[in-house]
Amino acid sequence: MFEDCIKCGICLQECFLQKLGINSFVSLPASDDPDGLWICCNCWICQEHCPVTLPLMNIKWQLQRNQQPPAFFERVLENIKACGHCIAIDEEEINDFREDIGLDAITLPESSIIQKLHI
Amino acid sequence: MKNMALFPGCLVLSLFPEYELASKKILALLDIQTHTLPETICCGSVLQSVNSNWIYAAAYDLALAERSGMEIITLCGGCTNSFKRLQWMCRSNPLLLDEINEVLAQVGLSFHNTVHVSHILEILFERKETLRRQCCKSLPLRVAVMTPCQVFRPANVMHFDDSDHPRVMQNLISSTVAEVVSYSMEDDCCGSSLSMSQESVAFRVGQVRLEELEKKKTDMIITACGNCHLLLQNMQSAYYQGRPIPCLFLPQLLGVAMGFSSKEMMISHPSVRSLIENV
Repeated sequence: MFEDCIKCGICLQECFLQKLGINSFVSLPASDDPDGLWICCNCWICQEHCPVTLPLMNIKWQLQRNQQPPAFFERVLENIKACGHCIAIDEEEINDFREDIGLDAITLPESSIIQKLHI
Repeated sequence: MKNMALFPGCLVLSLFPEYELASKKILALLDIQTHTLPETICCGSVLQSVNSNWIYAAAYDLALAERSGMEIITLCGGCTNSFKRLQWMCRSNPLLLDEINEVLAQVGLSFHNTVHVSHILEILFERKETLRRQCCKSLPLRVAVMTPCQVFRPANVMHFDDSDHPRVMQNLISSTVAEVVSYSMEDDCCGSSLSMSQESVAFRVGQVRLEELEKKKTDMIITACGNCHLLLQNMQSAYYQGRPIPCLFLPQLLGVAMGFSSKEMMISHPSVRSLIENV
């Protein structure tokens, strides 16, 4: 996936994590550390400055999808399947609160909708 | 009064009702009536790492907005980025729109890629002169900006401000007369999303930022994204032992400058209330 990388090092200079001495995703082409794959915040600065316009974010996501994600992502996925949102929400509870502070009520989707969206 | 759909997103819905409430109140003063769409789901942002089907989540939300006939206002960088990139992907590859519509047909929806998506910063910036005229209270505070990077990058999709050095927040804050502290990480990502995979790394990023802001005698950090706020406010005590630096969402700050009380802006942090009420 990094075949077209010219090893210019611009992504390493631009990545704010690298500037803090943290080995991030952009260190991957020159490193065997698999943890680096998950050390990225999707800030896009590396891809914006890549002189050969590598689609670095898409490369990262494709590599990540081939791996077992960190446990947190599993929990997020479970929540989305249950209520449509990353964080578990109880509709009645949240709407009581929203009414108290003057926000309009929300409606959660039926779980069958999430299934039909193949999430 | 223009009607628009406000998309709070998962984080704001669950953790930051003050951001949603303050946004709705100041938008109303700018002649925008906001409505919460029923049955929305996660924007798909977090799913990108685990599932290529994130596009169906984003398209579902956009299709709901299209059906309502309203434009969407987003509050977080991730939601804005997912929605606008999906729209860009569909414009670049019309076959993708067909594929998405095959899936959406199963839930009785269709997506035409016509809905307009704006982060609240874009809405406020478009109305900055009206906003400036409505700011009746000066807030001589020292604030630092936490820029929501995904609202600006990638530039060829987001088309908003200078994508490497956005200054829209600084511009909007100038209406309050607050002094915006310049600092070395002001154009860098908050690092919050790392808390999902490598919490200690996220904490280190937050710590470095806060240490510099403490040295610069910053009163508070102004955010415009739930994810930034999560690391810099909610998790702050887990990684930072210095003088606490509170965070405030930009619409809360602007709301106070526009004449709302701290209570109306749901500002509960005692030190922030004290700073704002004693100016």
